[in-house]
Amino acid sequence: MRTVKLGDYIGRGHIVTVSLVLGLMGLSWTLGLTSACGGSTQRPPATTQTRPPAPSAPSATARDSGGREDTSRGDLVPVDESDDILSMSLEDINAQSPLDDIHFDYDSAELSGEARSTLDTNVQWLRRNPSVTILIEGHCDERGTVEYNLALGERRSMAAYNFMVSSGLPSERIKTISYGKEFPLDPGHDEAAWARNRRAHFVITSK
Amino acid sequence: MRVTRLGFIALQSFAILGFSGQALSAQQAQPAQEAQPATPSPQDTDWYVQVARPGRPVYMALPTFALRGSAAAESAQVLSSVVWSDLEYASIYRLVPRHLYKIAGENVSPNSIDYYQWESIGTDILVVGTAEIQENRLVSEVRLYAVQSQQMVFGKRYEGPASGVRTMAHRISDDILLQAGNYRGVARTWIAFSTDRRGGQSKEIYVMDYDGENQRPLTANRSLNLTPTWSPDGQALGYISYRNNRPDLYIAFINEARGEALVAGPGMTFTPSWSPDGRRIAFTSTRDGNSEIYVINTDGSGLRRLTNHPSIDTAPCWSPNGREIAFTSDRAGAPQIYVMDSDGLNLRRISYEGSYNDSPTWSSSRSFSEIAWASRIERGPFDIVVYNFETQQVRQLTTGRGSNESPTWSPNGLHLVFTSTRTGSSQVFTMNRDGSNQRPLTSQGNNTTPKWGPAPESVEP
Repeated sequence: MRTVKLGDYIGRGHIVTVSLVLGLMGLSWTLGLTSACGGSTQRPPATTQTRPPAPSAPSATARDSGGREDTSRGDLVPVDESDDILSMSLEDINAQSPLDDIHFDYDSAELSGEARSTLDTNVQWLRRNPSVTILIEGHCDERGTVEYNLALGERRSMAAYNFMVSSGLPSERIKTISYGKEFPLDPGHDEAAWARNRRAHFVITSK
Repeated sequence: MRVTRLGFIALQSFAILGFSGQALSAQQAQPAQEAQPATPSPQDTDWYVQVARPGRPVYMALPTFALRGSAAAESAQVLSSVVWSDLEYASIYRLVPRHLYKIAGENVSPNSIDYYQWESIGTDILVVGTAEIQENRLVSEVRLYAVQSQQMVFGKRYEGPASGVRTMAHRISDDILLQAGNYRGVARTWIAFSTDRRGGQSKEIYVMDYDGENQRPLTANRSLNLTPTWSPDGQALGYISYRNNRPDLYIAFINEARGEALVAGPGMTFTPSWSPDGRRIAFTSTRDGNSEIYVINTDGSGLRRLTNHPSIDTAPCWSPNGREIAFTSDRAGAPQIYVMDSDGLNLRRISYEGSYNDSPTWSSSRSFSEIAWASRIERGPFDIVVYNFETQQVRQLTTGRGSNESPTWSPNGLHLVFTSTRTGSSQVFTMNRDGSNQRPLTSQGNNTTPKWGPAPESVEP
């Protein structure tokens, strides 16, 4: 089997052909191809190597506002979406936010019912895309101190991590990081902004 | 990793002239005492006993440095103005206002000092300086006179590159405080901090003079870099960098373009604090499952864990003698300040006011035993408070203007640097230990986690 990096084809106009071929080959072939590409490595894409990903696209954040998660999204995903992500760049995949943020109460790393529900959905998506690895970012709102919030952000990312691993996802697929209050999603200074910033955010790091 | 050279301008040579038979030792700082600002503690020297009068602050007069030759006009101006600002900032001596000097004779030279006139405008100590350019080198002679006893008590000749006028002025200021009252000044100290001014979702470590001048980068790796900590010799900085997609502890050297990771996982590493003896760094790590405090030797050996509690334990900071560590823990439900021995034993809580206390910093003043931290007292944002171990009292230094966080002490324990959002963005401020003279040092971007560096005793010849 020829080792092929799908990324090589992006931008050269071959992408449609490749994905059609893969679609015909079926899921098991896709798995084999991915492992030949070294899909188990944890390296993030070069474009975001030393920076956290840019804030989510407006459509994604609109869904996040007020802390409500569209938990039905997973059920509406067409069966062949997993094949589509293999043909997309990591940047494009993350821009679509296939994994929703979860949110936290002030000064807390406890998982609410809503958060657990969102995590369940995220776990299901990750089961359908078993080659994907993720990074869970823990974030805080601006009201605590810089130093303590770094640790609180770690707690939040670990809460999500522990839930997902307990749900059966292999721990090697998940890394965690904390940004404390350093990179707020919403730069505002009101309750709505703070609520959006108290979150764990999921980034696809390889596929 | 690329570390930008700071291009430290050092005075190239020093020539010491002994005046009036007084042989002066080399300029290295001698053991010094601090006391309450404006009321120096008594010294043994005869002339000092004559100057200090209990209950009355000591006044210093500092006329503009006299020019020798016209080439030094601008240098003389900068020297005078920077020394003035340094001495005013130090808040140890009061400065006789310049508009009174004409009474005593505007052009002061060592051969023509009208001591009675200087005394008549309230001067206790007179500083007379000159400035001259000799072959592209700036040369300055500075003399201190005890006005009442009409004697010169200190004289020194400074020489350096003409471009290094601020550095020379800071040197002069520190020497004046040392010679006049055995005080350790901060004029030559630097402050490190984290800034987002370069944009691109990055924060880099910058260094600046204690007065906000000369802000320049230490890191340029375009990731999140924060919480710097100085080595006690001022030659290196520890800091947290996310350049490899995980918060790790790096060491960067001020005068060399080299740096390396000291702690690179496992888990996340936060809030490093360099020990006073230079041999260890305390830090937070999540390697064992949650945020705990660890200590490691600066050569990478001897990792030991100090805390053992499911709570968040973070923000360690050493006592001046290196035998204790203050830190933040939420084991009581919300972040509070605790102290433990440097081996982890004898752990006890010291903050009991305010609902949220974080970022302790331990003063290395020889006169005051105190710790400062950021405290949420009644309102949401934070204020800087100081806990004094002797009185067991907490005093509040900032009051109700923005959120004030991340305090650290100056090396002489007379000032603090901290951040404040009172202007609408996060900026680095300094103030005296009584809360007076709060002033911003930065204005560009958002600037956080400042750390006041040590006096550079080993940097100068």
